[in-house]
Amino acid sequence: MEEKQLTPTESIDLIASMIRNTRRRLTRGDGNMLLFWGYLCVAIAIIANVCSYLQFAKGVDLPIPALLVWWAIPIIGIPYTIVVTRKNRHLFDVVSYTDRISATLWKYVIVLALAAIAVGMIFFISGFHVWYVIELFTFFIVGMAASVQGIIIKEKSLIYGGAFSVICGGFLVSGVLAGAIWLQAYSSLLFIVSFIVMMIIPGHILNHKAKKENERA
Amino acid sequence: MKELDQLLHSQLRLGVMSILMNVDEADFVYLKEKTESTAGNLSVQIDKLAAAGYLEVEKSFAGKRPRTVCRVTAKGRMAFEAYVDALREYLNL
Repeated sequence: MEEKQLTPTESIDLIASMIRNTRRRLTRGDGNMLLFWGYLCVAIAIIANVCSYLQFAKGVDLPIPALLVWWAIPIIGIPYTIVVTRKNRHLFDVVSYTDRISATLWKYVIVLALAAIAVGMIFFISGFHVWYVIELFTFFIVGMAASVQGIIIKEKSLIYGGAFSVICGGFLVSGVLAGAIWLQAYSSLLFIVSFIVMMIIPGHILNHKAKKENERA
Repeated sequence: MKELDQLLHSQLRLGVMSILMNVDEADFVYLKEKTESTAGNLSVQIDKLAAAGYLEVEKSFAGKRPRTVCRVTAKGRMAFEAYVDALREYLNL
């Protein structure tokens, strides 16, 4: 392309061709962040449940209370996300509106997660155990964010995965409000299943699609 | 009939503006690749667009490598839209 005057028709053709050229392709590793959070949450949930079983059912004296194991999720997840996002910032030579909206959406989720943890801490210090606030946050807010992300990038598995998580949260709240306290015992299982459906499966699907798209290109 | 903005009515400058209207921001290397232009010519045209207030240019470093990122300003967006409207009139679209 050079410094040359155009006819109106050439101008329209040029604009159309540039728009076609900049259409975003899926890139390898697009699903990696979903996979990281999905596997992290599932792994920590399994470890926390095993610790709870050992501590409360078997009476094993663990070095830390089983409930504290859940803290590994934000302690590992948030710094990792910040470091990887900063490191990758310069790897991409173009930032689309989709990229910006997605990044802002997940930043907002992290801020809300920290707020939910703070609320849980305040109640814990006051002598009330309301950790399910954090769990409900996960089902509702993360589920909604996953669905919105799915709508933005047009990925159905994410839309449905997020919706599944929101439904799990609704089911849990309704059950507890209806007095079915036993449902709380299954909340960790629901947590694990919802992260598999909401993040791990869509993460693998995205990476697979990106791989296929890159092979074709 | 509306007058066509002469600053936009050149192949390379219009190419750059069309790309930047479609993304949030783009690196100089990306623009060079998509417009298939030379670094020198692209740099001159970007400077002209920036001088007119159509583009915002941010120079930084990615590690040790210099990095130039371009974004369309509100003025540039309005000028581009007016240019497309004028083109529509010319072509009776």
